[in-house]
Amino acid sequence: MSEKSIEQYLEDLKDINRQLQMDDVRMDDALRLYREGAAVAKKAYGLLDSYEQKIDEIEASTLAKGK
Amino acid sequence: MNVFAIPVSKLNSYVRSRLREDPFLSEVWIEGEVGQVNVRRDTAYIQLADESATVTGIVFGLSQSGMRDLLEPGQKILVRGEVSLYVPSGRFSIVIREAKASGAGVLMQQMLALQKKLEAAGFFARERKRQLPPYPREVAVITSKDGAALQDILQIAGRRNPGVRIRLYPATVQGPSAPQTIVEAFDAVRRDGTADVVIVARGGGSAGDLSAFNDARVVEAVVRSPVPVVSAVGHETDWSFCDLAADDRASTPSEAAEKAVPDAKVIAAQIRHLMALAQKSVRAALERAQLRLRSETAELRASGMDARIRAERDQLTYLRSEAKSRMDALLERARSDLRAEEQATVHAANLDARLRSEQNSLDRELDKLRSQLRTRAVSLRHKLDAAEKQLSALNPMRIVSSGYAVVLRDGRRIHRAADLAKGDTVELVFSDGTAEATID
Repeated sequence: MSEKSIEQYLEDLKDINRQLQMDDVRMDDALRLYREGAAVAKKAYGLLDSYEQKIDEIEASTLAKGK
Repeated sequence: MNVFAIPVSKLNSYVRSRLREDPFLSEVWIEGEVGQVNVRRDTAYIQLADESATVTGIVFGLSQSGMRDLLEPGQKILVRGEVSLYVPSGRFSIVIREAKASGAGVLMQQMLALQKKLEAAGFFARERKRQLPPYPREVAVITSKDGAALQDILQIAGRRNPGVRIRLYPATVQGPSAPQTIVEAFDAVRRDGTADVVIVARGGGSAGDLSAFNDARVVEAVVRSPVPVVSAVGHETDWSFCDLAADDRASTPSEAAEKAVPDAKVIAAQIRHLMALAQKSVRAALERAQLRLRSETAELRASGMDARIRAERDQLTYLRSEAKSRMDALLERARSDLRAEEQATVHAANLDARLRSEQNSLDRELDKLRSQLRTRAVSLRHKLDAAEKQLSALNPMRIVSSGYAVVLRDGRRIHRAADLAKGDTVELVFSDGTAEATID
């Protein structure tokens, strides 16, 4: 199973937020959703950091080639 | 007859003593022209004369006297001396103590000095003389534009050879300004550079009239002329330094024209003679060649060589044709290779250009993609930040960590007091644990 994209993680996070905003959510479910959301956010940030690092690397290599 | 008589010698001695005693005759100045000069044992005996009389002058110790140069025939001089008488002959003479040039003699002395100077400079040297050109095209004439000399030259030159151009360089040929104008005319001849020979001419005149042609500047101009110079100054008996310096001298302007301008009739005769000689020579050479050819042909036939020569000539023709066709084929191949090479070069150049173009296009695409990626990353981070912020706000434990408690009934949060009724059992959630409570 391939890893999710940042957009998919973002959609998951938004879905969790929507569930947390519902009035009849149980407290234990809310705590679980919150923990899941925190995990999703962490993964998404990790992936975004990695993604930006790759962009930086591409730019650096292009500049070096240009010189 | 009883008379008082003295010997001849006594008479002569007496007269000599009287002469010596005479204050005028013991030191007298005399002017005259030097005639004959005889020198014996360093003593000079000269004839000093005027128009109607002569007297003998004697210079003792000639070599030390300083008078040698003055004692030239024709020289007019002033002498100081004493009148003396030679007793044995009874002739009187002047014992000369001092001499100097007189009147025209001064000029003559100056002329002689200049002549020596010009001779020493080599201006009159025979080896410097140049031959006149045999076939001149242009003759420069330096003379007065109004003088008879020019007319004489034009007449003679026109008669002898109308094809030779006569070009006048006018000059003043008499008077103080004459030397300068003659020199300027020579300068103009040099500048124009068209003349093959120069005639410098003037008709007859007195020595004074001709003096411009004894000027050192004129002599130098003659010597430095780039083309030969014929000098015709004065009459045949006259002479000038210009004559001496020129490459040739003519006694009259007419003779100068005859020397400078060759006779066309003579030239034509020379040409006819040379052509006849050339024709004769060519004819003789042709006859000799024909004889030799006949002789060698006969020899070849006799030896059977002519058939071999024909065969070899045919072979040579074939080989030449063969070589030509091979050479043509090689050339065609070389041309074809060259064309292919040129096409390959053009193709390679096109390919290179295309590669460069593709590379540029690729670089542009890459830039675009990189920009899009960066934009996407920024956008995602904004969205993620917003979602994460919202998540934090929805943290169920955020309120309890601030000292509040969450009220649950059947595990669900109670948001309003109206949702509760008396006797309901609720669960209170704190930051450090839970507690149960009944609504009263």
